[in-house]
Amino acid sequence: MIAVVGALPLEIRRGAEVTAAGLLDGLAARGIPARHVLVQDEEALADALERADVIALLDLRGAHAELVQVARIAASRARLALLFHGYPFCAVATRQCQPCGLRHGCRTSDRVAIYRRLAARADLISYLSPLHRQASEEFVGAFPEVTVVAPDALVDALAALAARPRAVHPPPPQFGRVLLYTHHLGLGDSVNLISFARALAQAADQVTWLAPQRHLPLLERQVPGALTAAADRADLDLERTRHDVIIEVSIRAADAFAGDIADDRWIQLCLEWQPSPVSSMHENFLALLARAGIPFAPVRPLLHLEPEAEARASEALAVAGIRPAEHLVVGLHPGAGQPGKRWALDRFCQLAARLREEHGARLVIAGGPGEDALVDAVALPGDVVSRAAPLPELAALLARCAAFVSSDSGLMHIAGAAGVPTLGIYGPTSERIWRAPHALAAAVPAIDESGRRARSLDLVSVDDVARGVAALLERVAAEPPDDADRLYRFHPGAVREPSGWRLPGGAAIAVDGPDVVAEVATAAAAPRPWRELTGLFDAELIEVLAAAHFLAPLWWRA
Amino acid sequence: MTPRCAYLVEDGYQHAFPVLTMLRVLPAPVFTTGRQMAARFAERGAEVVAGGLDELLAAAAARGIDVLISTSQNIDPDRVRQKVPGARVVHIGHGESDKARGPGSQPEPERRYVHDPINQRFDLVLVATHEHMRQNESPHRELIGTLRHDRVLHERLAARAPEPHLVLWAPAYGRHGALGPWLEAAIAATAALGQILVIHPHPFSHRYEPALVRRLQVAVLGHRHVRLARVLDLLDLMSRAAILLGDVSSASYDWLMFDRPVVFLDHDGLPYPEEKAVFAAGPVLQPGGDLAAALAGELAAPAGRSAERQRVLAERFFALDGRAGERARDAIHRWWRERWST
Repeated sequence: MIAVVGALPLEIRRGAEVTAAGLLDGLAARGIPARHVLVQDEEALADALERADVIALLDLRGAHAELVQVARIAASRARLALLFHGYPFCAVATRQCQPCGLRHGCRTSDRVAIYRRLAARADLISYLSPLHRQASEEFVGAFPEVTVVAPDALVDALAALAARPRAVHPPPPQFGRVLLYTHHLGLGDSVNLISFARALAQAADQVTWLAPQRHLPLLERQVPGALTAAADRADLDLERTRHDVIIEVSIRAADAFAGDIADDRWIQLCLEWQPSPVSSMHENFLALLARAGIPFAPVRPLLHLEPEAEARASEALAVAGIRPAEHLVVGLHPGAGQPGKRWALDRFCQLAARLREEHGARLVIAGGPGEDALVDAVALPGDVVSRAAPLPELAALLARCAAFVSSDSGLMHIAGAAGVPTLGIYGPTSERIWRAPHALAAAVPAIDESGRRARSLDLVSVDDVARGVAALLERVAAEPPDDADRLYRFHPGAVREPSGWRLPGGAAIAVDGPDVVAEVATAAAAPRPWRELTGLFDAELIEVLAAAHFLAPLWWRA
Repeated sequence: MTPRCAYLVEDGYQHAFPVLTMLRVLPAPVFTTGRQMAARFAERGAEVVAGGLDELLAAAAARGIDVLISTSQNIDPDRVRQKVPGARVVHIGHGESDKARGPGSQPEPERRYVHDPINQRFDLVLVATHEHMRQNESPHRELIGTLRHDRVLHERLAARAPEPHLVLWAPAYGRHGALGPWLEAAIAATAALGQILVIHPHPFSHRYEPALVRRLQVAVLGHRHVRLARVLDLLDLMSRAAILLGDVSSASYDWLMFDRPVVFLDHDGLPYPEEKAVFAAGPVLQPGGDLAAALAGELAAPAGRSAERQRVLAERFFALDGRAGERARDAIHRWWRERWST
């Protein structure tokens, strides 16, 4: 079986996706079993990695943890065909060096190293454009041991490849007992490291995570099989003798362990020197393991929420008369661990007022230790207020929001990891590296008059953020909800035309044959839970209608 | 009467060894901008003041310090004198900065240390070698010898028995460094010989070569026999190593004090023959050369090239008598007595 793996669905008919569809058609015409696998579909991908004779890999750029997936595919036993229709080795270096900042180091970056390993074990490469071949070979050189196949000969080449035996690889490196030593970190850093700790737990015999004491209530039980303890109370000399590998993470190099290191397998990772300025923090960490040859399924650091904490959060909303299935619930955090990252308080107050007035939002105003005054300044009667709550309860409360807005703060990362779309307001920190760990993590960066990225948060206006929130809410409304009880209704402005349905904004859905959209319109004239709609109609139809805003959550304003 | 002295130590372990050496002959408080440095010097019984630069200078002024002995070219002596009225600022070098000012200094990151205008602003520059003494244009300079080597002699570091399986690699930074072209070969060769490869990257690499450091971190995770070292003074680690993978770093010259084998790794980043004088002290491999064979050969006859090593050492350094610290102390006292206190 040939698995054609990519990051975009075949239905999106752009560029190489047409080629992929054509490839599948060509293979089908020769009677060769083949299927398309979306890299985001973990179950299908795992099956392909296990069983496929050939993996034909399309562009994965933009996929979550792309480099991890590439390394994982490189470790599979399937024969590999690489179908390059972009610049896989370095998306930035070949065309846009300026924003990257890696300079000459880009040629030894994770991206190049991991794609090099993939290409080194590939059986064939097909550059779907001569320009891309030229650019790639200029950057990393040719791969003389790999057959380069013209696109029009690809189907025959794949058919021949499928007849060859599968590859054999050396086993991945053994880590034994791993100490993850993450002292002097911010709350958001710890949250982002959860996915790294989980990946380590897959690769190691045992993981011990020594973390800041105040983060432990949130971190313990997040990594199955790992031990967690307070870093500042640990006997590091003793722990050194108990572990085979030590991975230390600190924000600044000056905070790292100060004693001599020479005899341990000990690496010191410093957040102020990120190896890639274009990948998010948790992806950078995952890429380290991927580059070391550890194959694992990448995940975002999604938080496991405690049932008791969830119950208390639900109760807090109920007391305030908030029903997340009906109301737009938006979380706000007017603070930040470092004052330099904090957007002005009066602007948060103005933003909160606009969210209430323009979107009818019900607000959850949250703050960390020492931020009570900030919370009180923004909150009004009717809002839910959380002042320095225990972290598990805070996470459960934020998980009930439809969206979350803050500066680049630890609470933003908790919200993202709790499954909430976020809007971050960024000044001195990078919105690329420090974006929240959620697929819908939007950013409003500070931009100066000349259009350049700036550090001062004074440059971010209330209008900027309000526009960002509106755009984020529109995206959220179009997504299938995590909460199956959320109420959806059919767009009241939708009209039936001869060819199908049309919205006032211009979005249209063609109807060819029986009008199932009309049936949905009738069913969702009164709001219905997502769960019920997907029980009555095909789930894909419901998702398509939501994506086009014919169907939207009750709180969404057309 | 002797002046009240203090050491002004920038963060970064490369700044440690001159002070470690000087404390033996000139005990004085250590003022440092590095928390880690503070902890390390406190461990060794030194009186330590840690903080930001302005805090340190205020503390120095409050204590009536007469002479601040600085390891840094980044802390301007004019600023020090402004904040500590009446104080004199003495510079003692720290290896790599004896050759070139580090990256980050604009507009010429590779500007030669000896021609750096900041040298003119020190009240006294204590110089390690004749070569730098000739080139340095500061009117206030004295030749004292290499502070680093005092420790080797006084603490008898070279007399310690090396660990036979420990291969040390302390590569240079930037274009001089051999890590880029040689890392995989070094890992494979040491694995084949059953050795432990301890890599001590240049202190600047962490900040300015993150992609290279990432390679080293991956190497540690992927190979049981690879270590990434971070030590206060590389001499202590050298005293344990049986052989060095060398390049043109100052560490390669320091290694000659131990009279132990070295294999030099040449590469395309070293186009100038004159910068490779140290290569005369051992076998030199070109990229693709058989490193495992070279390591095994040198370890089988560790004294085989002792004469070459001694010759290169003598050509490079003067007065290897373990008294550079004393000369530095005496120079400071003499300048104080004869020039500054009048």
